[in-house]
Amino acid sequence: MSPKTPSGPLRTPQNSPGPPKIPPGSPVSPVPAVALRWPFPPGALPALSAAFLQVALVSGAVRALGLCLPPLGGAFGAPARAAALVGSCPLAALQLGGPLAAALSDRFGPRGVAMVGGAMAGAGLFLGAFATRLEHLYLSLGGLTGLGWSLSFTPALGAVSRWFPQRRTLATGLAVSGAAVSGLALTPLVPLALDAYGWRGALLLLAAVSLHLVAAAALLRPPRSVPEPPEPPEPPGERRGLLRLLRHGPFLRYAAAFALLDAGYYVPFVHGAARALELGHDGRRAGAVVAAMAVLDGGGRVAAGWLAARPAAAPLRHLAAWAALAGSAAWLLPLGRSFGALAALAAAYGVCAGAVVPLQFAGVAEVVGAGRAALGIGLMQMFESVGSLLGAPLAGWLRDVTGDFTASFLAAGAFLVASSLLILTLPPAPPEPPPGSPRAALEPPV
Amino acid sequence: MSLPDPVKFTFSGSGAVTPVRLCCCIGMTCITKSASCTLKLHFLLERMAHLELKKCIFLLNVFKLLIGASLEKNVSLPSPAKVNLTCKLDEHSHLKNPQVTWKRGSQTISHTSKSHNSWTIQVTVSDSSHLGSYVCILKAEKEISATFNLQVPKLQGKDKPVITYERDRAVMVCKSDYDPKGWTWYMTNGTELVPIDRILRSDKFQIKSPSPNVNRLEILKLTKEDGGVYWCEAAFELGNSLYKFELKVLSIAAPLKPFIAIVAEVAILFTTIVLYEIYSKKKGKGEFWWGFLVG
Repeated sequence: MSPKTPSGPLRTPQNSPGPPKIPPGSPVSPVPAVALRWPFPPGALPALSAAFLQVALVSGAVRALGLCLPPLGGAFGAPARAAALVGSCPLAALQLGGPLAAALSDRFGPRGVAMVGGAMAGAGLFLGAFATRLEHLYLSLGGLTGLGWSLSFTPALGAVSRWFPQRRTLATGLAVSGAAVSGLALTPLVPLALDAYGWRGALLLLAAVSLHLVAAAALLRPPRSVPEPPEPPEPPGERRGLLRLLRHGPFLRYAAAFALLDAGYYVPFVHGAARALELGHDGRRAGAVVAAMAVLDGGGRVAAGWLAARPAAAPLRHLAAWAALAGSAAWLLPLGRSFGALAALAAAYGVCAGAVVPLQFAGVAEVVGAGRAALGIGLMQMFESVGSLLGAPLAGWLRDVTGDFTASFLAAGAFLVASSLLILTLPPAPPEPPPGSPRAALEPPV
Repeated sequence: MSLPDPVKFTFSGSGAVTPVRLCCCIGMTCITKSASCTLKLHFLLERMAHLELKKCIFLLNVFKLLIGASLEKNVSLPSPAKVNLTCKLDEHSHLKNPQVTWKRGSQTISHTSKSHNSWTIQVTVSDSSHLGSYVCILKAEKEISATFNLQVPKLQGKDKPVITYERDRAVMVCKSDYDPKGWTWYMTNGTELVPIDRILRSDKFQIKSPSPNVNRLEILKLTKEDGGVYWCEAAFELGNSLYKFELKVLSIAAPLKPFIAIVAEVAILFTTIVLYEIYSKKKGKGEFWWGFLVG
């Protein structure tokens, strides 16, 4: 079964004349999930498209912001570090805002929260275009935009986890592949906007594009309650849910594993081009190395999502495996010196690193149950922020101290492997019941 | 602009045309980079005020192409120096008994030293008259020439136009690899270059030097008239080096038009989706039936 289209052209039940015709009298026999033609409940596909768009817009905006930083810094006469802070502040806000976003979306439903988030993100970028001082940018971009991203990103992924109990990893994989698509689209477009309108104009246009987050959020229907695999029912109220999560041993280990992972994960992406330049390749080849990583990152996301969605798969084991592979790829990266070797190793890293992403978000539901997925994702992102804030600067510092990036990549690999080992200590979630059984008949929900 | 007739451009001065990695330019825009241009090409010599000739070198297939390596090296000289230029033939070359001449323009220079595969001259550069192209021509079965361009250090800045907005502040940063004796900024008034220090109004122009090899021109309270060409000049002992900046001052309305277009598109998309959702709620019955059949 092709992972992208279950059957023919995509049609939601809303715009098809009715459900697919089943000849009357034929028994609904227990068929393996693979043969089911339309296993998605209505509202699931809009939620998936919404999440895809949210991921695409948020990661695209992060990347675009990074490209706008050099002219921006030059215009304010700021040193490179201050300008880089303008880029990392919104990213930090994105991750730190996770728990807040999750709590709000539990209370008010993902749709409203994501819409507000999209509006905030657009407003922050719009205000940033008119900034007269660097501090204005920290506030508008760092505070408003970053928080807005968090309010749209986290509920969307939580909703996907709940809408797709059977093919959670595949759905998440498809959703997060949006990042690869927007990366490929924006990389040529942002320099064009910068050349035509300068950084102020580019921020203005980015604000308008970010408003698509609001439109995407309109597709996010609140998921209906899903019957839980054996998990005690939680007491009502999100604050108690949050506190219970913080005492949930496996969840804490899971979140800590991703704090470790994030410390290593971004290093090849952030420093890949610089590594290529350091080895003597020219700017274009450096760009090609990064592009190879990005493209295979997207492929890895979908592939891993599909692999882990098969009924017998244990997503957490897959996650640990991919994280370990990514760590090994990072360890091998310093060996690539010629353009071909570097590009191949970077591509290998891209596949493994991309593979981790859908499994990471889908795995939350495995650890804490689908009902608390959004909350779990939010809290996990907050833990992750520690890793991501430390990771790339640590790599940069290692490079300054040792003279090249070898130590940085080795450290990144170590973080990734450590996180893989930590994930292996988690109990595997009970496997999803086979679709033919009576329990599965309850899913997808009505 | 009418182009002059095609002209034979002799690069090495020896009368022979040497194939080189070439840039075919028309005006200030270089349109192709290729080892051989098979079209007869016109070129323009662009002359800047205050020196600095921009050369576009072409290969004309009118002349017999000579196969061989093509080499060019730029040597930046910030101050007077004695320079040794060496042409060395690769050990594994199959050229036998090469004859090497060093030339500058049409004048031959005698070797300072030589060995079986390398030939060196020493050039004493004491003023700008000694700058220029020095060519070593190697004659054997093939003719190979290598050129050393002795020049004042080049400046770096922004080659694309600097985009700013009205009432904003423009920043132009001029950098050099070496420390010049002094920096001067010029603005163009028609065809004239006017040094900015003469009209230095500190509320409008600010020139800052964060380090000796970097110079910044900041223009405050921009208006449309401030747009145009600005020159940064660095004075070295052997001469001056220029860099051209182009400043564009846009009104904020310029990016607002695409901005509003995109926002309008988002609004339409949003409204469509919301209407769809409302419509689908009315068809809620369909969902029920579907779930019943599958479950």
